[in-house]
Amino acid sequence: MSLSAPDLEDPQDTYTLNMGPQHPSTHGVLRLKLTLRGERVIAVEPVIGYSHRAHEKMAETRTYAQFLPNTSRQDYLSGLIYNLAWVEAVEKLASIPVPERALVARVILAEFNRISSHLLWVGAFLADLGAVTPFLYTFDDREAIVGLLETVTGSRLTYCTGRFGGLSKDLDADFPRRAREVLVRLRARWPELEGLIEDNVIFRQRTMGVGVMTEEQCRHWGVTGPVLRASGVPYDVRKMEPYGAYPRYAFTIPTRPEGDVFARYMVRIAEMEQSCRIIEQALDGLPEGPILQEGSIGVKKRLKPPAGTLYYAVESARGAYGIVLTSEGGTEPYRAKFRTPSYANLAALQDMMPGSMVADAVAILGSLDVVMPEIDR
Amino acid sequence: MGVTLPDRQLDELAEEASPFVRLAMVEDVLNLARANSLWPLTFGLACCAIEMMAVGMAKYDLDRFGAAVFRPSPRQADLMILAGTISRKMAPVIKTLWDQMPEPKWSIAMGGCTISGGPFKYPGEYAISEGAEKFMRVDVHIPGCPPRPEALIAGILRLEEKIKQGRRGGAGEQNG
Amino acid sequence: MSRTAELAGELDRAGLTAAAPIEQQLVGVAESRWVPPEHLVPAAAAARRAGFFFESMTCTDRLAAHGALELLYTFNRYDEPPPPARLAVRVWVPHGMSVPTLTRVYGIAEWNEREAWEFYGIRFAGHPNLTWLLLPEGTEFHPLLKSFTAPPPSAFDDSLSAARGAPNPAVSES
Repeated sequence: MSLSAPDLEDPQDTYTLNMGPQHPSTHGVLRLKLTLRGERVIAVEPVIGYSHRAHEKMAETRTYAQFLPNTSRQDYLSGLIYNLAWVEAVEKLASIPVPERALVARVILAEFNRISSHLLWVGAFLADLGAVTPFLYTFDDREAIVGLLETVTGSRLTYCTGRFGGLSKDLDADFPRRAREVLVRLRARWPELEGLIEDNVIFRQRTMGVGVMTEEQCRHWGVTGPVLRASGVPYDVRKMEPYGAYPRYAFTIPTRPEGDVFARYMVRIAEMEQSCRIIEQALDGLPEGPILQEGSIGVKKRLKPPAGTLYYAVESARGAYGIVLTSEGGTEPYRAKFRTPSYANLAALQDMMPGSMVADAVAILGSLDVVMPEIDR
Repeated sequence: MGVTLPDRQLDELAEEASPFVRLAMVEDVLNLARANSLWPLTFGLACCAIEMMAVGMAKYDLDRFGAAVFRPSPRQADLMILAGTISRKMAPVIKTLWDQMPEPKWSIAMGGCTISGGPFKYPGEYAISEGAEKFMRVDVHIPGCPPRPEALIAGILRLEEKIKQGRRGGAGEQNG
Repeated sequence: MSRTAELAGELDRAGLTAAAPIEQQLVGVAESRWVPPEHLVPAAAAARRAGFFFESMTCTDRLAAHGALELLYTFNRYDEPPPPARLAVRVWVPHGMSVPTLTRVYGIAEWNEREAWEFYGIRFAGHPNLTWLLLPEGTEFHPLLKSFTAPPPSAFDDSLSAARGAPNPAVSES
């Protein structure tokens, strides 16, 4: 089979293959219309919307507190980060102060959430490539983290622990000890993953040089997150637009120059270790004090932020998450728009996939770590 | 064999022969086999899918109930676990997949969204289907948002009981 | 001077910016400019040349109060340390007016504009594929408009939703 550049003048030579919306490797309900010539993808059209649940319309018909359950369900793998982002955006709009302990606790919870999201990705991505073993190991580690978060928040997956002015429940006195145990367990796992996955010659051949994105292509599509950092750009909202207690902690932004699938894997592994570093520093410096601002309305009263529009950005496990929140002084938001990282990352697939083989298509899609409900909102 | 025995003698025979030999109706034996080796379709829609994946993993281990042979093709599966919100765009796709599954087949509605629309149901909603029963048959409903993995296991065990009793669908439907 | 301020100044000098049609405080951005629809493409092209990426596009329904929709584009940089380099470009779209497409400047604009069309009904002139993105094909309503309260009855909803457009009961009390 000739491997020369695809000849688009001959449409009869192409074949349209439909992937999804029910497919084990599309990670949620995504439909890809692949145009193939033989085994080579020459065009891809993502069809989305199978998970559209009207979050933005619901935001306009619910009070700020009533919208809290929706926030986690946009990206359920970084659910805690999204929940806290909504709370922080409203706090900024309404100028609600947050006690020190809550700021630090939010960082700890958010970073654990980031690690659990990356662990799930590692398992699912390797399963796409055909390696089922890492799935079992990473899910077990994820259970340790999720069990820890459950003792603090009460939820395993879709969290609703943020309140305007702090958190709903305090970290108990034993929490730092349990959290450090989880960190020890995670850190013991990194060398195992390295030996099991990184050194595996099949993994390397399937991921190196596959799905390369340059910085310029990333800029064209607005790509953020580990996909961008794997193309050599050290852009992370926690450093570029710091929020909460993040400026206090020392951590690096891992990047790789290659821009391929292997680089994205390595970046996420390195990020998990950086998250462990942040958690350690935060636990060491966890201040005493209230977890919720005194006089906070909690969820019982109606909050009426002053009129205005706010753009609030945080770094989720997938990239830069932005909330554009417009208030007209009422009890409900006038407009809430959610700029989700997977939206741009998936659109960039139209640039990333053409030219690769069908088997690589799965690896490339998996490396993006998209969560469909946050794209469809 | 072609030998028919009066029922009383059959009962005595059965008692004498047990525990080494059990006599049962063919349909009951088949139902026992079907219940203990359910093959679910890999079909996650939204958040509940993550808990479904967790159930298939080592800590909650669905394999000990024989139900962790997830098949990607509906033609090879006999259980559809609807895990996640059903949007109006997705509903016809699910119906097609359900129709493609060969009989006998069962479905579990996992999570509030598949039972009644869950947290996304409000007056004037335009995006979701308020429950899977708007367009297909559901055998077991598991409430929760998302249900804990233990709840999903309990739902699967409840379905197994139902299959062994030869029942399908809602309380009103008793046909095997 | 930050590169965002440089870009904003460039837009001003090129005569691409206009006066604000409404008073609306915008927080979380470094610079904000109002741009009439006909100057949107050159303004975005200037941002592209200056190395900004297309971060987001928000459409807000202001038809009831002002008879127009507001488009809020934000552009940002990968390489500018804090404070944030975000540039907001705001476009006032009177009812019925179409907006030129940015698909030839930024790739992600294609999806953002499709979404704005299907949820608000804004037409983007020159868009290569202005069709449904998130909603089922053939949807005949634009859901995010304030005037949209409920879809026509269907097999997917039941009597609770038949209280069409009823206000959220928890919100009606104070």
